[in-house]
Amino acid sequence: MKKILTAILLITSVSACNVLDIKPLSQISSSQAFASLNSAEGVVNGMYNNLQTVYMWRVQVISDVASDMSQQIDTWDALISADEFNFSADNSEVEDLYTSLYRCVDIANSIVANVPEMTVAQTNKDDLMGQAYFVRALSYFDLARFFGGIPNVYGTEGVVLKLTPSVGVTEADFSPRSTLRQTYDQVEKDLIEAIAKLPETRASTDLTRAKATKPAARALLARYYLYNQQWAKAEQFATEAIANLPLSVAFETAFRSKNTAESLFELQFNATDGAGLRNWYYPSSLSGRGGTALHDKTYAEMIADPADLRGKLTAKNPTTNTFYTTKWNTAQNADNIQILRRSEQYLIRAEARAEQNNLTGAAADINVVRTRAGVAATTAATKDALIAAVMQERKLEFVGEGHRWFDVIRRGTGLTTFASVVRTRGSLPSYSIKVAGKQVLPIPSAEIRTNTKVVQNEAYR
Amino acid sequence: MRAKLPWLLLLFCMVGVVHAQTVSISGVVVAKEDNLPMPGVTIRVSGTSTGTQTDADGKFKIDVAPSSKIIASFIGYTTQEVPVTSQSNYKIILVAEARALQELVVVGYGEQNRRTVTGAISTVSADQIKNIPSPSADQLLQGRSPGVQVSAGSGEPGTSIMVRVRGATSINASSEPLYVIDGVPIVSQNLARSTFGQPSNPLADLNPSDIESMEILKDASATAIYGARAANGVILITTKRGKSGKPVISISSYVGTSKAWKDPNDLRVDGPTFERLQNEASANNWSDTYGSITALNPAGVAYKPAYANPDAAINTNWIDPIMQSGALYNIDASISGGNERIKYLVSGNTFKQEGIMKPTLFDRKTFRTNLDFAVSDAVKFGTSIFYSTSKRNRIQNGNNINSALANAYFYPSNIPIYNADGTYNRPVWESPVAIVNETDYLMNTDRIIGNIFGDWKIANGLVFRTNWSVDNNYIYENQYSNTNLTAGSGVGGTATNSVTRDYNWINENVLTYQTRLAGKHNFNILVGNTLQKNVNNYTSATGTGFPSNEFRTIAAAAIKNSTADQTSWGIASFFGRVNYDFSKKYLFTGNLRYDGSSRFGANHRWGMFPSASVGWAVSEENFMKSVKAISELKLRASYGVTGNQGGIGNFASLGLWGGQRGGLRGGGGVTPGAGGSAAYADYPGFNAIQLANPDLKWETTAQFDIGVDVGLFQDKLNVTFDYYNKQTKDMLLEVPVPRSTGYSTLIQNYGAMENKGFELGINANAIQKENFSWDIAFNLSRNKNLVKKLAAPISAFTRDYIRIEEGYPLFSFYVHEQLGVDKQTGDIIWNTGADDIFNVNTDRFILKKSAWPDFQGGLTNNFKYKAFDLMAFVQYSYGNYVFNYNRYFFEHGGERTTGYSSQQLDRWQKPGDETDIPRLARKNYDTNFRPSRHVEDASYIRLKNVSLGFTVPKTLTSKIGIGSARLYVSGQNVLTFTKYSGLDPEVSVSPSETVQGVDQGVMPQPRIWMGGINLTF
Repeated sequence: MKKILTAILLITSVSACNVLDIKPLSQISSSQAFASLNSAEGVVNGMYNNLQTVYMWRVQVISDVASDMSQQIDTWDALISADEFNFSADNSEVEDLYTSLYRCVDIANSIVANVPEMTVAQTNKDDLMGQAYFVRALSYFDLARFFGGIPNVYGTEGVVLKLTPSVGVTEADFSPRSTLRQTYDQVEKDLIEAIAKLPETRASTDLTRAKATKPAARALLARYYLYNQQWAKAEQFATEAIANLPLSVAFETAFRSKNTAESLFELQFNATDGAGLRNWYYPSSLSGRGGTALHDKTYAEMIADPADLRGKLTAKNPTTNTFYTTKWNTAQNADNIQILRRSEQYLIRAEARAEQNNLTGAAADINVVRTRAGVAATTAATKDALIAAVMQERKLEFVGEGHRWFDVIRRGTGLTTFASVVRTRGSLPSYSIKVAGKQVLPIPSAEIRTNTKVVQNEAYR
Repeated sequence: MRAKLPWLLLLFCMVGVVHAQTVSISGVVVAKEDNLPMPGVTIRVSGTSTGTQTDADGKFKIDVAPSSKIIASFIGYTTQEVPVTSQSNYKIILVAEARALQELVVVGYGEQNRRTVTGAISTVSADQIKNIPSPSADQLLQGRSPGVQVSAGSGEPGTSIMVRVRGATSINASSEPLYVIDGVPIVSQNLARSTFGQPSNPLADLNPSDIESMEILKDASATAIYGARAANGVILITTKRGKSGKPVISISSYVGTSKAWKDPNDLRVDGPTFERLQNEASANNWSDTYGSITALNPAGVAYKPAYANPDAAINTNWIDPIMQSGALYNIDASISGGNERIKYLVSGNTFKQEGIMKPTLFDRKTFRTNLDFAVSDAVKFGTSIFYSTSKRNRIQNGNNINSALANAYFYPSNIPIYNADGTYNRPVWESPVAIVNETDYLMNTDRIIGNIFGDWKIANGLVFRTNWSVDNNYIYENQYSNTNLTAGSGVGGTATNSVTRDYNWINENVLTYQTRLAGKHNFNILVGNTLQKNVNNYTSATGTGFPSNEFRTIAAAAIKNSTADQTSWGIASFFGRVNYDFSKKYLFTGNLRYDGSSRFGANHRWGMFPSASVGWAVSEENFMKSVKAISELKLRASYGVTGNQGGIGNFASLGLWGGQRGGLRGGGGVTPGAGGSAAYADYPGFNAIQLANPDLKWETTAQFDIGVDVGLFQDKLNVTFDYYNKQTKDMLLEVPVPRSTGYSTLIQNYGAMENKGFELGINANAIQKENFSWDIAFNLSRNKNLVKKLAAPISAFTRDYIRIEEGYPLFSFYVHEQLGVDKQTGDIIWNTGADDIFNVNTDRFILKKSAWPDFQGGLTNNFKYKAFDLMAFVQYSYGNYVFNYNRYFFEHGGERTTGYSSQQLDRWQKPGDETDIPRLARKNYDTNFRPSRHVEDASYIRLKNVSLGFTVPKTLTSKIGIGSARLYVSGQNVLTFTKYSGLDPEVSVSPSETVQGVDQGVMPQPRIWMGGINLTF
């Protein structure tokens, strides 16, 4: 018996250590994340993965529903509020959008901070960091335009600028919002850095589209200058991004095929990732949610010209009697999302040229887009008419792609364009934005609660 | 009685003097249970008045006539007669009386006489819970014990039950008590991985009929021996074991049927009414926008109602096709018996309960073998082996926008179930009828809880026990959506199969020493250690694209995906306890436990959890012996510290990078994107998922308890009262951090919480006659919870409906306060705060109403008249509020195109109407409004169980060879009294520990009628 007792005590004391020293089996600790090039590339992929969360549908559906492009016809009131110009600070979609953008920022910050210490070739370091700068720029650009406003149009407050990776939480994390200018300046700085570091192309076409490259960064910078009304620079970078290439890909193919020449940056999705754009628009009989639909007016404009190929990419939801876009149509929601398209660059340049009174150049760029869509050349001849034509072209070209809300606001017509919008499922005859302050979303109440230095946007106080 | 003893003894002595012709004998009296000498035992010579008492060492000396008998008697023990023989020295062994035996309570790592217990412990015995249909034992605690709050979240059989002992101590760590079965701490958390409606309850694996007793350890003195996992109380479950004697075979069975206690049709709105309400809203909105109903809009168009002819609307009932009356049955069989060496109990059970909604089902089969084997007087071995296999058919139920019951109201009644082509009509997400008809979700669990133990009596009073246990859970889930469901329609069917294995091993070694010094100082000393390790493995495969709906296994799927993960935790502990009493009058218990957990960093791995308690058995004092009415009076006080490490991640202190996408909601409830892999399409990736906090440590709860136990009229009336004050600090809290860090929370030891309350338990043996008896058990408790310190308010439920904030209890509702409805205009009168303008963003308040009841408890009445017995058990909760989330959706005032529930019918319609449901108009039903009228008083009194039994007379049963036979009929949830307008006041939608009292499409409790029979041979 005593032997048994001794044996038990022995087993007990030995196993006590085994029981308490347990290492994570499915995760690794922060120090291992940048241990090798392979590992660091995994982090970069993880960053794009987080960008998927942002662009799987959030940016596009929230902004299109908020604008006069699309409407919310189901019962999801976080988006119905968007549709009715009626955001509240506790809107969960707004909170998720905000948080997911900062998750991308944090991972980009980790890469920017840790890669320089790695012992790998400089070209590898430049590539990894260039991608991080690109994603950080894209994220802050979105944060700025959603939550801050458009320089010289609406808004003065930017967002909290965080440029170092989060390890724990420190006093410095409880910072106030930067100014709108500071936030936009950071975007510009990061994009210039990205252009300097990124490669022109990658090993394969798929990789060139899937991950940031110099052309992608130039295209985003062109969009940046457009928003900042720096027309000459907008034209310059759009020209660089276009790189003398025509719109060679058929409109439908640009969406239905993956990684075509149309895309300058295309976010990759497989069946596991599940891009949600199709899910929101497609009816439940086709395993979608059918919660989002085009406004009847949008659809009417799309099919106004029967020749317009872009109007063909729509279908009718028979149960709800509404229309939806069929740009993305893979049943497993495995569609790629085209973040930067070449046609956008043509339209950026058209607008920039019109603003600089290069009217023929502007008309020529509009017509590149119109020709591919199968419609006749524009008849607009004055500066104002050409700018209006660009706006209309952008509306038809980017259905479902999340540009409309910002285009209207940055042109300063938010209060007039977003007025008397009719919703097929609305209880009121029509809806209007009414106040300028609603051209930005509320800072999520979760952020205001936690960081009391963050000031709420004026329309939501 | 005892007060008279000295006088009687004096008398005996005087009488004794006059007797002659005697022999002198001596002896010792010991108690059977511990073989320790008993002082104060009365020794009397039969037929005479001669007598004496045993001394401090249990010894006595007395002069008796040869061949007479001596009688030894002591309160609580069976009186023993011993014939005087030629020998002069006697050892008399006194056996505790049956009633007193019941008073032995199970405590952590041992047993103790209730009279010397100084902690707060309640017992629920097998008798109280027998023949009550319930899948799980924890549900049976409801209303049985003061200080224990039990709510069944849903009427679905086998789903989770919320059990809170003296409130909730934590926000993010678990507030569930620790469950220990026959010494094995078992897994009680939901192990199902599918986020599909309500979580499942692992305690449903157990067979309630195997249970001998459940003791709920409540105060720090009772629980501290479980140290780091004891802050939420401990529930000790003891299973039945064999007793010496010839084999006893018992068989019992019941069959019954169940239906929702409240018909969901009561809340239904028919098709014509739906259309009239929609028209009313659109007309009101037109008037509000353009001035009057006859006004034209700017385009010159006149108002046109949404539905031209409501009277002709079709009227679809979405409720009836999804509900059913569920059958249930239970069969228990056991055989037990044994001799001095071997005792055995073998039992089997099969239990099947269909839910009140199609096609829910819970079907369980269990086997148990409990063996005790004495190798010698000093060495004993034993084993308890339990195997359980169960099957659940589940559907979306509650907590989800896709819940069948919620959708039966979401779907307006003016549309048909099927389209013309026979497919499901599906204007919004999933059709409720499709959910119940087409869902194929199976969950199988297999569980083995087994232990072997050895006892070695090293010396008198010194016993070593070693106990080795496993708790092995194996869960198989198979979820298949065919092409008739939204999830499967566009993709050719989709299926997910997953396997979870949760394995625990536990070793405990305990050394106890029991002794009595100087006859009056009783010591019971215990030291021990335990080790436990848990390993959890999960593997899952998903397939989409099946050739047809006949193929259901993933092997046939066109696209296949899989995932797997593994995690582990361990805990090592050392503990000790001293029980001391002086003549059973002055009582002391001290505990100390030292725990180490793998979940914390090396610097804060170990925690020390001490407690102490004192008691004074006033009734044992000489001056109380003259107070005949009081048979027991004991005062108790305890203080101690316990810990909590439950509910947090296994690696919560580390900064982690992983292959799982950092958490975000999917958005809209169903959109893909939440969770999943961190790969970027086909490029492998990982991301930071958790911030580091190397300082993370135990959450600690200090508890003070003061209590009194009173027994009156020979214990015919027993009253127990306790007051407690629990203070939790260093809470393991998901502290919200600025989102600009890329994270929403960081787990920290932050914040403080308080639970204060009292508990009253009364047991009365009101009438005890030969043919008639009446027993009453009543309990009442109150717990007041308060969040005392918090870094920032935490939003615990969607739309910020539940907010955790300093100065308020948990489960408080954060709403726009509706003061009423203007009788003239029908518009809502809001609490507008400081100004007169209602601002939807700022005029939001935490109500002074929460899901916590002010009082709750139960009342049991047992009657016996000759061969008949009647039991009625009433359970109640007063002052608890429920946020009726259904009303938020179904009382939409025309803001949605979905259906209504009947509460909407009470709307304001014309000046003078008095109601709290405003006029149907956009300005009253903006979806950003969170009106307080949806927070409802959900106090209730429920006749939970009633049963009437008849015991067949022995004269009859013996003829057919049956030992005893009892027949009974019984009902569950027979009557409910409540003001709550929803389907059940006893609801909780969420698996989250921070959300209680939210009703969203939750299945109501079943009303069960059944009949049964108990037989023993």
